Order: sequence, then C-alpha cells, then structure tokens
Amino acid sequence: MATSVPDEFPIVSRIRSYFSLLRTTKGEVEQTRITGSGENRFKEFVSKLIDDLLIELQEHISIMEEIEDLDTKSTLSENIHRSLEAFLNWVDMILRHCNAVSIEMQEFVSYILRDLDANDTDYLLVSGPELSETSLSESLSKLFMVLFQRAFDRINSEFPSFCILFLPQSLLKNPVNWPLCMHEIGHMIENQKLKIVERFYPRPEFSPISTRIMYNTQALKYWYSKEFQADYIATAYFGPILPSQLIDNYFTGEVFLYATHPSWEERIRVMVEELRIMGLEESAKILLEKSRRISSKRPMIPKGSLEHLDEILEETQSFLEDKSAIYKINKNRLESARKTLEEFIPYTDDVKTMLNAAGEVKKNLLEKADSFEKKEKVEEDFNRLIKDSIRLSSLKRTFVSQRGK
Amino acid sequence: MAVSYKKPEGLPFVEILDDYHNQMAIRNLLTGVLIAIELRGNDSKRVKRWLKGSLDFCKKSENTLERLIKDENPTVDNFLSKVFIDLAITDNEKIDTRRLLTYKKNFAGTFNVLQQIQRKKEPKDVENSKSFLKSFIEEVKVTYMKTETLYFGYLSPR
Repeated sequence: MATSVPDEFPIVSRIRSYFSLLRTTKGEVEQTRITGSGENRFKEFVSKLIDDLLIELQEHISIMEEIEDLDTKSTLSENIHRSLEAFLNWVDMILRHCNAVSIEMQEFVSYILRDLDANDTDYLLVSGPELSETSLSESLSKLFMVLFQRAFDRINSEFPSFCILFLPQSLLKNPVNWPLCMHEIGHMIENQKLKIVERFYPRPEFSPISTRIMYNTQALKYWYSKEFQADYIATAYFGPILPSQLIDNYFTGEVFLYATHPSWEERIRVMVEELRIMGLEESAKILLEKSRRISSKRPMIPKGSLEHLDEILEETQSFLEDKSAIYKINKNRLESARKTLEEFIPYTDDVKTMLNAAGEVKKNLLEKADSFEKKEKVEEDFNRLIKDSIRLSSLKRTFVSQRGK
Repeated sequence: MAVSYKKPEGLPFVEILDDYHNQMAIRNLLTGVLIAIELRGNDSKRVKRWLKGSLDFCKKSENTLERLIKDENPTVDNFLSKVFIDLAITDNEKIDTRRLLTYKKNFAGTFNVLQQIQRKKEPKDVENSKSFLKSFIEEVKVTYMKTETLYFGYLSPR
C-alpha cells in the first residue's frame, strides 16, 4: 500500500484533496452542537465512516498506480469523486439544517418515541422541503457499494437504519400540525423495529415513484400496506386531530396523491373506520364530511387486493396496545385542556389531549379575530403557547419518572 | 402482474435521492468489474473480493435481464431492473427489448471473462467486455444526468 500520494499524477492529485476535506468534516461534525437525541450516534456514525473512507482512499491510490488503462483509472476516479462529493454534501446539508428544528419539535418526537418504547431509534430531524422520511443508511450504503466496502460493511453492521426525518419550515411553525409527523414516525418504527409489512410482502429496493413505467404488483402491495399502516399508527396514537389536520394540509400536496399511493378516498375510509372503532363517531362523521370536498384519484391497485392488510394492521394494533399508546378520549380531560388553552395557560398533562383540544381552540380564536393582522398575531401567540405546552409536558414527564425512581 | 404507470414530470424530493443512489450503486458495481478485469493476475485479498463481487453482479444482471426480456410486461423488482428499464425505455414509454438483449449478451460475456480470470486462465474477449462496461457506464450517466443536477441542487451549500 502506498504511504504517500504521488504529486505528479493528475488523477490522484485531485483525489488527494479528499483527505483533508474528510478530516475537516470529521472535525466539524465533532464540534457542532446538534439538537436532538440522535447527536451522539450521528457523530459516531460519521466519525467511523470517515476513518474507513480515509483508509480506503489510500488503498485506491495504490490501486490506481497498478491500473494501466487510462479510461478505467478515470472511471474509478470519477466514481470516487461522485460518491465522496455526495457523502460530504449529505453531512454538510445535515449540519446546516438540523439546528433549524426547534427544541420543542425535538421534545415532541422524543415524547412519542418514549411512548412507543423506541428511544433507541437512530434518527435526526432536519429542516427540508417536504415532510418525508428517508434512510440515511441505505442512501450511503448505495453510494459506497463496492468502492468503499469497509464503509459499506460498517453501515450494515453498526448503523443499518439511521433515518432522516425532513420537516418543512411551514410545518415547524405550526405545532397543531405536528401530529402529521406521526405518519413518518410510523414508517420509521416499521423500518427499524416492527418490520411487519415485509413479512407479508417483500421489500422493494427502490422508491415508489422513481421508476418510469411498470410496477410489480408485489411492490405496490408493500408500499400501499406501509401507507395504510402509517396512517393507522398516526390515527391510533393521536386520535381525531390527525385526520383532521391531514385534510387541512391536503392542499400543500404533501399528502402523496400519486397513483403509486393508495387513493385518498380509501385512506380516509380506513381512518373513519378506525375512529369508529376507537369510539369517536362524531369525529368520524366530521372527517367524512370534510373529505367530500376533496377529489380522489384512482389507485393502481384497490385496497381489497391487499390480502394481508388486516393481519398487518392487527399486528400493528397489538404493538400499540402493548405500549398503551392508543389514544383514548377522556372528555373531562379534553375539556380541562380546552379551558386551560383558552385562558392562554400552558397545558402540561398530556400532549395528545392538548393537541386534540388545541385544533378547536385555535380555530375559535382565529374566527374571533377580525383582521388579517390580528389573525396573524393570534396564530403566532397561540403557536408559542402550544410549543411551550409540549416542552413542559415532556419535561414534566421526565421529572415525574425520575422522581418515581 | 404488471401495473402500467406514466411517471409524473417531476419527482418528489426523496425519490430524487433514491434515483441518484441507485445509479451510483450500479456505476460503482460496473467500475468494480472493470478493475477486477484490469487487475487480473493480482492475487491480493482485495482484488479477489472484487472478482467475486463482480461475478455475482454480472450473474444477477444477466438473470434480471432475462426475466425482463421474457416478461410480456416487464416490471421493476430490484434496483438493477429499475436502472435497466430506465435505460431501455423509449420516448413512447415502451421497452426497447433489443437493447435489453444486447445488455444480457454482454453481461454473459463479461461473466465468462471473469470466470476465466478466476480459473487463472488468460481470458478471451477482454477488450469487448471492457468496451461494453465503459459504454454502459456512459449510458447510465447520460440517463441520470437530470437527476444528478437535481440531487446536487438539493444537497449543495446555499
């Protein structure tokens, strides 16, 4: 193995710049304060990967000296360049955008994961253009495949499912919309812990929209089942506020309406049914009424063709029941939360009850404000109140559980 | 069973990321084959591992292409078939089967070359395989050029 990089070789001289770039990035990641519980694991992840990449880069340089064919040399160089640029850009993007996510949102997600006994989930919250969830591990392992085998093996053995949750700024500003994240958290939990859907339908190696024409029915069944399951988890956990906010946010286009996702109509029907099972008939009726105003596209396969969907949802339900995570309406508690929020006092007993009350209180407050400026002011103040309530609820729960020990 | 679907003009953010990573994985795999051929005769552990990985990749590609050619309505089932279909699709959303057949023939040929290397024989048709691999890498690059621009557009520092 070469111990030094020969300067006279033009292809290598460009690659050489990655040694210092990677070391600088490692240092930057170590020094940056990243909000959220994923900080340490992310730092460890990047640090170990960079150590692996540095070793492999050195090896590539010695290999380049052995390769005679200039085209092969340059192909290798180009791929090293592309893979490392993409990796460095990922890290840079995460560092720039992770601190744009507020402490309250971090607390909110931790609160949910604690409820689901999943605080060991590897994730980071990052400000991004649309509400979505993606696997950083899968992305990087494809970038490193073959050429950076050591880094590739490291990801698969130590960090197999590190995930990034992208949150748009407009959603971050409005905490009444935060339950929408639960759909993405549902995917995160399924991918890292439950793995229920893939026991019934094989997991495809690509995303639902990215191919140009033809879909294998099995792949569609996997994606559709995952969407129904994530809707189920979100509605079961948060109760009526979830589908209500989903409809209110329909026109952002964040709710995927491509033909590769189940139809809006079928998704709503499943949520209505779920609310009825939860004893929330009134909310089910409101949801049906609201959803009539929205048009639906035909799905590529009907829900009826998902022969294992009932089993998938039953197993998911068992998981949530086991964690006592299913929302149960308590009218007295809801009333108390409503009154507290109307008086502009933080409600700190239970985040789920508080958010279910907050939707209605906010609507009433906005109706009473008679100008655009007043509505904006009310909204701003109310959002602050809800964020404080979330943070205090989380703190209170941590404090109570520590006192109990 | 296949389900036809015309892709929307744009791609959602997460799908762009996935598209880019899939084509990078294929380009890395193809480069691995090129190096395994180029460094034949080198007995190091690393080169042996490249050779083994390249044999697996060529065989998997050949099998995937065979399935795509046989199917009346070829479907995507893994990231290899996804990239092959993206490469062989025509402007009127049809699959160019002849192109898939050419890929299959060339992957089979490359597999034979790699097998001969593994058996420590001087392989025939090395230049054909190398030329196929190089032009295939170029095809992948051209097909995903727009994806690459969008991908780095999302990730690059602002």
